[in-house]
Amino acid sequence: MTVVMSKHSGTASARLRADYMRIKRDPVPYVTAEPLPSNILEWHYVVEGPEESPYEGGYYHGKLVFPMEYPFRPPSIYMITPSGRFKTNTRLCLSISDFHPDTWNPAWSVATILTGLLSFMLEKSPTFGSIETTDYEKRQLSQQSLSFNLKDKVFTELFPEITEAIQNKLAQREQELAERAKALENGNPSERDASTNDSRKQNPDAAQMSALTNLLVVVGFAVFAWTVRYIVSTLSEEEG
Amino acid sequence: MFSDIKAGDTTPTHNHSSVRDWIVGDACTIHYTVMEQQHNAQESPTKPSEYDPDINQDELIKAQEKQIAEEIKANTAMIGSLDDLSTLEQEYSNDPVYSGKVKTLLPKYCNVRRTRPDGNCFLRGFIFAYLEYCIHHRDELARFKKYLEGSKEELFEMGFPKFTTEDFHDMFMEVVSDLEGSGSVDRVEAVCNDGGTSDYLVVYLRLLISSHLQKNAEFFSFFIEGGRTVEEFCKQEVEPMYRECDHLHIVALTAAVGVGVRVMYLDRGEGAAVASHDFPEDSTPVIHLLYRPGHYDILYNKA
Repeated sequence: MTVVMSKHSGTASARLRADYMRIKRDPVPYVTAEPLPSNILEWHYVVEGPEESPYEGGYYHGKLVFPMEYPFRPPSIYMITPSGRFKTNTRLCLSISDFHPDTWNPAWSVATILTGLLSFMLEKSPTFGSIETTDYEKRQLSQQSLSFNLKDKVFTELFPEITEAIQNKLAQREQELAERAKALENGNPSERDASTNDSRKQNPDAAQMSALTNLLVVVGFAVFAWTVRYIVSTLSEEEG
Repeated sequence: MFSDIKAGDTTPTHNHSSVRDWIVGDACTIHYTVMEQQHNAQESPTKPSEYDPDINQDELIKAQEKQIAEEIKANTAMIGSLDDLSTLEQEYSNDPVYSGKVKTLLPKYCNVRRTRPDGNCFLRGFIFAYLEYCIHHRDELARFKKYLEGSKEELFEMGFPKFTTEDFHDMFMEVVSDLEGSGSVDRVEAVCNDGGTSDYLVVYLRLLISSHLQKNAEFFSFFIEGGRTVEEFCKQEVEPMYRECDHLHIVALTAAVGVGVRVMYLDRGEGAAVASHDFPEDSTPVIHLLYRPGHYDILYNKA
């Protein structure tokens, strides 16, 4: 049958190619996506943890599996890197995923899916395939995500630029550790102090946070003491 | 989702004339369909009789729905061949109510073309019957093309995503342009039975319906059940594929495109005659559809 129209062949792969061109021209913030060279129905994506979120600094790899009927039916969405938000290698139940074919809108595109996924990741609302963890755990996982992804062959092949960025980050991290260890050997008291706490060493953010908390407690106490003194003195003035 | 084949004869009768009554009737259809689906799911042989928390129930239902959809797809063309209306009579030879009613159709109508019951039947029936009409009425095809051209900007203004909307629009334009040149009923049949093309046309009509409903939200909000806004209704009942068309959809589509449709309601309603309704009211219908609870086919009148 020669019904196939010139540039619109109306197949999933034709539409996915159009989606790909579109996403290259107009990228989704924080997300990179690439189809497998051997199968355009399987796309892999990487979410870079946005600033000021517990995912900051992390790289989250996952995949979208499209049905032959795309865009008339939605894809399945999987997360591969542990994030503390989603179970790994489990189909996620989102309004944009194949758990809800009856709310899927064919006018949505890969960009819509990835934007929806990111915003759902940043929320806390539960769904099938989501898990609950503390922000602290999420931050730890974000640190671990770097080396986790480098072990994944599909990841390193599809995302060479991100892989390089991760390698650079890890090298930098290692260098910092080495310098710290060296400083420790030289008996630098301040460095020694910082490295006595294991969790602080692993997570500089947490160390900063607890220093800040300590400071706030001291300041708060000072203000309190000052207020008490002020009230006592005013009271005694009144009495006098 | 595949309510076309499930909504049985228990659906309420359609002997009403005001739009509001139609809506009430349809809400029952939807409700019935949902119950039916749950019921079917419970009877499914793949589903254990006792609740098992380790098994994802949604998955099972989904798998079953998919299986039903595959069967329908394998067994029914999106737009079937031109059949004599007597085939419909034969279908109901053991059913006095239905066969009596089909007999009253015989003086007016001669043929029926069956559509695939996948929730898009009204829209596919509309597209086919209308394009077929346009083949014989070239001025109407020209008018429709002009309407289509302008509709894209309207959809953008309503906030539909540009890239995908354009894609669906362009496909429709290509089909119409193609028919302008070498248009024939065979060609329309081929286009409407080509999966990719046919589905693209269906989606575009869904966007047009959604846009019309949202543009006139103040009016249509009175007819929407379940405390939903017009926008929510469009997101849930209009824009997704395989959602059945009810009276609101038909009112909106016929008003937006400016095409008259007559629906003949074949059901267990009172009276020996088949109730009919024209959309928009007082219009001259150019398309005739046969409604049986949950499903639409195309009718051909004798004139």
